[in-house]
Order: sequence, then C-alpha cells, then structure tokens
Amino acid sequence: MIKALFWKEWCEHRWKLAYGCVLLMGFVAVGLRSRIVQDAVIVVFAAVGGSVLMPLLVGMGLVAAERSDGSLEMLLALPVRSWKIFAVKMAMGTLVCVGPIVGCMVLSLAMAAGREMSASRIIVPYLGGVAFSIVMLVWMVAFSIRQPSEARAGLVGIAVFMVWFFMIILDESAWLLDGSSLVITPFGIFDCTLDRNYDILPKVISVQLVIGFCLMMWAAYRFGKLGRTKE
Amino acid sequence: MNEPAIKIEGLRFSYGREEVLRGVDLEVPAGSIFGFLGPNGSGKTTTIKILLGLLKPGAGACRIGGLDSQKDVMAVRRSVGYMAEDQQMFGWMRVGQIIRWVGSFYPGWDQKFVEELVDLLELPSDARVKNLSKGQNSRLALLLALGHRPKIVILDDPTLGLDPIARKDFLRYVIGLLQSNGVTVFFSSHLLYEIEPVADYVAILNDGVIIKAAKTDELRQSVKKILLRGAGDIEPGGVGGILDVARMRESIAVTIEDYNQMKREAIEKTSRCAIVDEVDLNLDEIFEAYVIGNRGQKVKV
Repeated sequence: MIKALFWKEWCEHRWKLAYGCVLLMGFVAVGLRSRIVQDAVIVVFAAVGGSVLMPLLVGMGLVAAERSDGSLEMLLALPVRSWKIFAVKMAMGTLVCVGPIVGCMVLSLAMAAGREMSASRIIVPYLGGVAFSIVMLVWMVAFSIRQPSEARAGLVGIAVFMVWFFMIILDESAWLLDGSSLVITPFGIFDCTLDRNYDILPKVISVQLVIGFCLMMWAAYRFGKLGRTKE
Repeated sequence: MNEPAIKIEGLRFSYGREEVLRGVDLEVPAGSIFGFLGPNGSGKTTTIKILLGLLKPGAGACRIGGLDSQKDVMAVRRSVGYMAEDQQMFGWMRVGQIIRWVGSFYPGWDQKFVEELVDLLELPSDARVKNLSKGQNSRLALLLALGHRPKIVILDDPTLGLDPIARKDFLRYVIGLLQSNGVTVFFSSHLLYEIEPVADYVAILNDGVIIKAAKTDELRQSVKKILLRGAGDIEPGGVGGILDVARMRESIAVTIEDYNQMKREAIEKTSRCAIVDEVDLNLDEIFEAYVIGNRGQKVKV
C-alpha cells in the first residue's frame, strides 16, 4: 500500500528531480570548469539557489496540483489513512528537494575538492542548503495546503520566504527583534554554514525541529480535512 | 428481517454557517437499486461523503453494510464501491496501471474479474487516462469501484457530463453488472429519467431533508395528477397530500399524493368541480411536484 503511494509520487515528481539535477548540476559543472569566478561562489550559489528553488518547485505540486486537477478526492477516498498519504508525499517531496543539492555536492567534490576549497569547506554549504530546503518545504506545504492551484501555492511559498526576509531586515535594523530572527527563520542555517557562526547552531536546530514538527502536525491535520471545504 | 444495507439517522451537517443537511433519515434495503434524488445543492454528495467517512457529521449516525461509517472508516472504504461525481483520476497513468494501482489498496481485489470487466466495458488498457473519452472515463471509474467485488456500490451522479447515448450505455453496464448479483446500488442523480427505469426505490432529498422515500412503483401509483372542471374554487387545504395546483386552460390540474377514492370524493366535494381525468405521472413530474410544487394555493376555476 505504502509502496503504491510512493510509486505514484515518484512518477509524478521524478521530472522535477531530473529538472533540478540538470539545472543545478549543469550550473555547477560549467561554473567549476570555466573558473570565471571563485569555486566558493559557485558552491554557495548552487547551495542557496537550489535550497530556495527546489522547495518552491516541489511544494507547488505536492498537494495543490492534485487539488486543482481533482484527483485528490479519489486519493482521499481510498482505504488509506490520510496521514499516511501526507507522510509519503512529504517524504517524496524531501527526496526531490534534496536530491539535486546532494548531486551538486558530489559533483563539486569530484571537480574541485582541494583546488581552492577543502572537501569539508565544500560539504558544509551544501548541508546548509539541504537543511534550508527541507525547512522551506515544510513551511510552504503547511501554509499552502488549502490552496486550490499550483500558482497560488507558489505565491504562498514566495510570501513565506519574503516574510522571513523582512524579519531579518527588521532584526538587522534593530527595530523590533534582538537576533532571534536567525533562530525563528531558517536563515540561521545559512548563518551557521556560510558565515561559520556555529554558536547559534544548537539553538537553530532545536527551534527549527520544534517549529517543523508543529507545522507538519498542523498540515497533516488539515490535509485530512480537505474534503470539508465545499467544492 | 434483513438489516438495511445503509441506515442513516438524524444526519445533520453544515459547511460553516450554511446548514446543508437538516436531519436526514433513510434506510436502503439490501439488494436494491436505490435512487437518491435531489436538485443540485440539495446535499446528495454531502450525504455520500459522510457515508464514506470523508466528512464528519454535526449530528446523527450512518451504518453501511453493518459498519459505522465514522468509527470503521477504513473497513467501510474497503467493503464499499464508490464512484465520485465527475470522478477525476490520474491522467498520466495508463488504464492498466491505474487498475493495478487502485487494486493494491484492496485486499479483496479480484484481478480476473477486473480483466473480464476491461473487455466488457471496452476499455483500452494501454491508453492514458487523460486521453479517454468521458464515457470511457466513467466506465473506468465504475470498474475501479467494482474491482473488489463490493456488496454495496455508491454511485454519485455517475453520468454527469455524459451525452445521452453514453448515459444509456453506462446505465446498461450498471444494470447488467450489478442487478443480477444482489449488489445494493445507491445511485444519486438529478436526472430523473435515468433513475426511473432502474431504481427499485427512490428518496427525494430537498433542502437538506428527505421529503419522500418509497418504492418507485408505489410512488408512481400513489401520486396522480387530476384534472378538474367546474365553477368552484379549489380549497386544497381541505384535502391532505396536495403537492401542486396549476391552471391548464379551462381546467385545473391538481397533483396529489396517496391518491385514493376518499381523496377523490373529498376534492370533488370541497371544490364543487368535476374530475374529468386522472393522469399517471412519470418520476420526473412527481419529483417536480414534490420539489417545486406550490402545495395548493387557492386557485379560481
């Protein structure tokens, strides 16, 4: 039963995985081969770009696409608990988000390890990208689960990102916050991995785990209630 | 006495402040083909979704095949065949793929029976679902609802969007496949003429309540349209069961339920008119009388 659900999600999302791999790994391969800029620039661009692009791409299609084409009703009427369907969707979404970033990491290590950067210096930004992409996917799905179309789910994802961004700006301006935005938003992950500010890492990880868990519970609950809305 | 296949008691449901079901009571006898009628927005689909545990009712209870539709949700879905209104499936899958995929969720899936159905329903196994015609799509949805050989099948407006030929074809398949096997079919529709030839029982849902439930034949026999001619006034309040009163040129047409000799005499007496004709009605006209009938306003002859 779970295998069948995974198969369906895999068939629906494998093209996004392929697209993400071709786009990001192509960028890394060309960038590292041409050496127009420093290797660190390519690595950081691939890690940050991939961690924002992939969750947007995947999050739009995970639930909203099925709602808009009407097949979600059939899925929810099957003799499977809705939380299992949701869990499989999130697992496949995570795999598709993370896959291209991990692919870029392997490619970067193969092409540029020990050249300008050590292997560990290459790995750390990509690990940050992996973590950021998972957090962004969780936030995006949680807030866009009731959206009736992919476009609107995408807008919700962009809005979530912009809210984080404004929180950081406010924090930097010292108007409202006191550095806590780095912990509440996943930008703290990049602060740790890119700026090597490891002091806040335990706090960032624990806060993001708690927020992520709460958001997933909320999203799973709302996913099971999607039939309640009047079509 | 056999337990009814479906039993609904005091069912209430609201979408926010909008009350859709306002105390639905219904019993569907086992082995029957049951037509669940109602105009658009009357609450048919909501009732069906509650039966399948897709929605939680505000009040009331449903039992389907002896199972509580809220407590035994998975058991209900495994044992009942369900075809949704305008069912959308995964367009990228091929017919054979979607059949195998859906089958993997049902322990009692009968692949041999399904293969026979594929031939019988003339479905192209290699075609993508998105390339099927509306008629083929409906037949595929029917096949997926029947593959685990359920004893109860719920069809929610299954012919929605089909042209008349495809509708007739579809009903022919439904009757051929289900009527002879003792399967209970709960069939919702707002197209009366398609229910009439197939349903043993009908219930009319209007504005969130069941306004009539009866055997189809009994309903047809008990509801009549009588034509009156004379110089009096129709005072329908004096006679119970008047559904509609309408002027027709020089006569008055009164549609009345539970029509019998006593009512005939009462109408003639109270209206001081003569009954010139009694007309049998089809289900469409009966439905219309129940749902939009004026319940007998005073009409001058």
